Amino acid sequence: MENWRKHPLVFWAFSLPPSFWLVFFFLVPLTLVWGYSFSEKRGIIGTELTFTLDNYLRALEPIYLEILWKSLGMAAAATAICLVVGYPVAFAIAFASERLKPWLLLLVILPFWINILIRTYALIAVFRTRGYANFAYEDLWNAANWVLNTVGLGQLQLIGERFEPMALLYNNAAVVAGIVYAFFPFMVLPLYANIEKLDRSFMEASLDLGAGHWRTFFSVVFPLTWHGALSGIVIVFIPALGAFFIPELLGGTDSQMIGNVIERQFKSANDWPFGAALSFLLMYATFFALALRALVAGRKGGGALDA
Amino acid sequence: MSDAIISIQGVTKRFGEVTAVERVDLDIRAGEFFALLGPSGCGKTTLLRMLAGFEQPSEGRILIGGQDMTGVQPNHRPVNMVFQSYAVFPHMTVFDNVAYGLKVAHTPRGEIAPRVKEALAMVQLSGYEARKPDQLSGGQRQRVALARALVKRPKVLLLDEPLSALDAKLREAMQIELVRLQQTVGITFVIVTHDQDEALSMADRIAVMESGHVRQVASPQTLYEFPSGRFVADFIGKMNLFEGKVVAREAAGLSVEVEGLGRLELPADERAPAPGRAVGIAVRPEKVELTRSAPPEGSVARRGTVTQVAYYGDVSYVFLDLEDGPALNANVINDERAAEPHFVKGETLWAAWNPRDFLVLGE
Amino acid sequence: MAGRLTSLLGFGRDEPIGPLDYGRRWWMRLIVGLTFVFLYAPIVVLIAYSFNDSRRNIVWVRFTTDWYVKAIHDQSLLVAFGNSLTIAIINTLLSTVLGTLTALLLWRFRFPLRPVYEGAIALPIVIPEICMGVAMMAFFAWIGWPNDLPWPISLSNIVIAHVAFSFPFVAVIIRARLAGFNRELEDAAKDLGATEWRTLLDIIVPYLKPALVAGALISFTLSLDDFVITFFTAGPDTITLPVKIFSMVRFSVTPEVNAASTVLVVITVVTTVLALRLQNAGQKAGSSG
Repeated sequence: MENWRKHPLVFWAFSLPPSFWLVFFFLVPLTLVWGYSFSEKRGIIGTELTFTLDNYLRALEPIYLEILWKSLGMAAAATAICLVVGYPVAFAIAFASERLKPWLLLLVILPFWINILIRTYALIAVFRTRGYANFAYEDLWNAANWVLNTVGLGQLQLIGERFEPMALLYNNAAVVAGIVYAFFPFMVLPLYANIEKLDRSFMEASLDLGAGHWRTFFSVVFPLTWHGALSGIVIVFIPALGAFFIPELLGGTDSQMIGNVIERQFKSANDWPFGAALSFLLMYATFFALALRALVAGRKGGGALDA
Repeated sequence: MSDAIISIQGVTKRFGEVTAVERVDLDIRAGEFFALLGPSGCGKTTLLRMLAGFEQPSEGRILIGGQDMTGVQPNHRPVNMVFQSYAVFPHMTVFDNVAYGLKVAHTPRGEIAPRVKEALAMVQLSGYEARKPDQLSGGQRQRVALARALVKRPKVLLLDEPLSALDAKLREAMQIELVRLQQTVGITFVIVTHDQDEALSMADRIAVMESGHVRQVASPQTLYEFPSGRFVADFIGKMNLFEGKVVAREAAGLSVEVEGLGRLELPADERAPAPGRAVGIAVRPEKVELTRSAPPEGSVARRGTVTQVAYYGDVSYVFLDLEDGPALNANVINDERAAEPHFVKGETLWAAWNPRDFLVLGE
Repeated sequence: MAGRLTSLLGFGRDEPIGPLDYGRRWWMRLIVGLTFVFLYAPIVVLIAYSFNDSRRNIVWVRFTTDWYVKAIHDQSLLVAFGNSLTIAIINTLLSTVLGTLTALLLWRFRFPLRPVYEGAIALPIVIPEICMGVAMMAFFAWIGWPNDLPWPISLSNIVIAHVAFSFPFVAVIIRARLAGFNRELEDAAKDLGATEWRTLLDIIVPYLKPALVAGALISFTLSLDDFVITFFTAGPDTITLPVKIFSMVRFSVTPEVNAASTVLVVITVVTTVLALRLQNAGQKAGSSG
């Protein structure tokens, strides 16, 4: 690396075009929305910057506060599921044979490259009332019913009189499942990278000293890989919190998340200042999460973006 | 047999197409300092990992303290290991590292602290309890690993190349300390090493391994002076090796025709190959005597020219070309203070041997 | 064949399972297996039913390509697809150039506020998409972007937004490759009398080629795939394929949607696999050279 003054012409040739784009087509728009979040609505589309905090205070009204909490809750639930399932999957890949490993990694990464919107749509076909999950459930039910009838317990109707499909769509659980489905690979990759880097002899030493596999996981593996878990949590939680078409497509009337409210403020309600405030609440949460991760990574002595 | 604490019986280990250990039979006695020695890739580490339970034998079985270990997980074995990388848990203090094995085994609380203290004292780390591993030197980390394993009072302590990461000075000090420690605690030590000096100086007995097989199990001195074959002879120490052919094998003596040395009359050796068969004739450099005047009667002697002298302080290696062709390496001990080398390049000398010092090695 | 399959899955090997052979424990396999079923079954079903001769996506009737034929004759779908491709291609050209310049800049120079610059460049990657979407929407409204521009100029606001979020990704890919560059090659070229520009063109750009192609392909798929940011910037006459699919999905689940989705999935997956292969090949060549 050398000082830019040594080759000022080359420096400017390299730095001006991307800087121009970054400033005018990214930072200016963000600053604009930030400004809106402190503005008041004037007329139908007009706004005036008055440095008011009303838009943020409005987010604390019960109706929006509930949505905020629900968004946090659903994003947290989805993140937790990703973490709990992500660890064994990351483990299995890290400990797979060298021949199998690239294929398993590819299988985890591939969904990244399939449009999230299309994947969400694909879930509908599986989860709706006349969908494959319910077909499988019906087969199971019929089999169980047949077994019960055969052994003479049919009259007791232990599993109900008639098959009832489960309501798998248009509720909060469907939204959580959709978020897990969309962002699961984000969790597995940093976990995998950290487990792969972990010196196997730490685990062997723990087993050798008499600890079982669970004890080894909680006393040795988790403490030594949790910054990977934290990276995974941050990069799943942030987009999960900002999800809007997943609750739109999979959720019910009470499954709205912040993203839906933001979209409505900009697209139909035309209350841009309020939408901007909500959008910047998301941004603040993002910055907070990133700062937290950077802090932890800094303390661990690793790079902040090494996930 | 009854005093074998470890009994390895017909053990083979395959990794896919590769056979790392092949039909090994080995008994390790209670209380001995045992070394597995061999070049890298010879299977010694795999064998050690099978003792610890990290690998399961593909065939055969291992008994520890008389109990079959087949299917027994590492955490249920009465052995503990010191890892090559030490594997001292970086997120725990020295105390917590040493206490870990006791906590896991639900040792009563009151017992843990005194036992940890005792173990740390044993490895001379008293007062380091609150340190984290990244505040320790490599040698100190190794002592933590030792204390952590010894505090469990295992039947056998396994050490995987324990000294390879230390610098030369520290390595020598640790060799002596490990022997002292083993004598103090009386636990069987099994050490894996590729360093013959380490094995020779520390171990009571050594198993030399090559490409998955155990070539010889013996005391250090036996290995050095009476190697069972070419591999062991060549691997341990320095050796002058000549090719020859057996001429006669009788009760009175062995007659061998050696390339470049001519006919040699050696003491009788019933293990030598039959007449007419090829044979290796070897002699250690320190068994060669170099003189300027003709050697006494009864010794085997040849004339040669010095090609190079390598000075090591305590000894010098003298390289000669014998008159009939073969190169020879001889050690000269520098037991007298002198400003000039004893022998110089270009001079012609007598190299003499006692016929008893020749080793006869079969195919 | 069956034998190969079972050995690939790890069954049928007689080697005993070691304590850390987590990949060979049945319960691990169960979790991994179920996870992959969860990840892939919906997509497989979606693709399969784009070939099913039934309007209702429920029972398999027989193989047909009718839905693709229908989709091709659907004027609005075709227009949306054309828009998507046009945007993606222009985006690829611009973001590859900008991303490469950014990567070279950060690799080459020390300058004031460098850490701030690095942070700002990473922002488009990390912030929630919807925040960027509404920011773009507000920005174009604020500068009074006209709605009635002729095609393809009318797509330029979407292109601008796409470039803003995809060139940082390109920069990441190129920087990864530059990290392995042997600076002595550059010094050698200069020692032999090459100027700054000649060195760049003769030494660095050829070295970067695999990363350039990978970065270009990745920015192509990012743009082709993007829904959220396009959703907030697209006007009624500048619909892209994902936005079109969204509006179709909102109302009904039909095999045409499946067909359109399948086309998009196949294009992006093929492009990406190509990009990954190029990047890997580049890394291998780079590490050996």
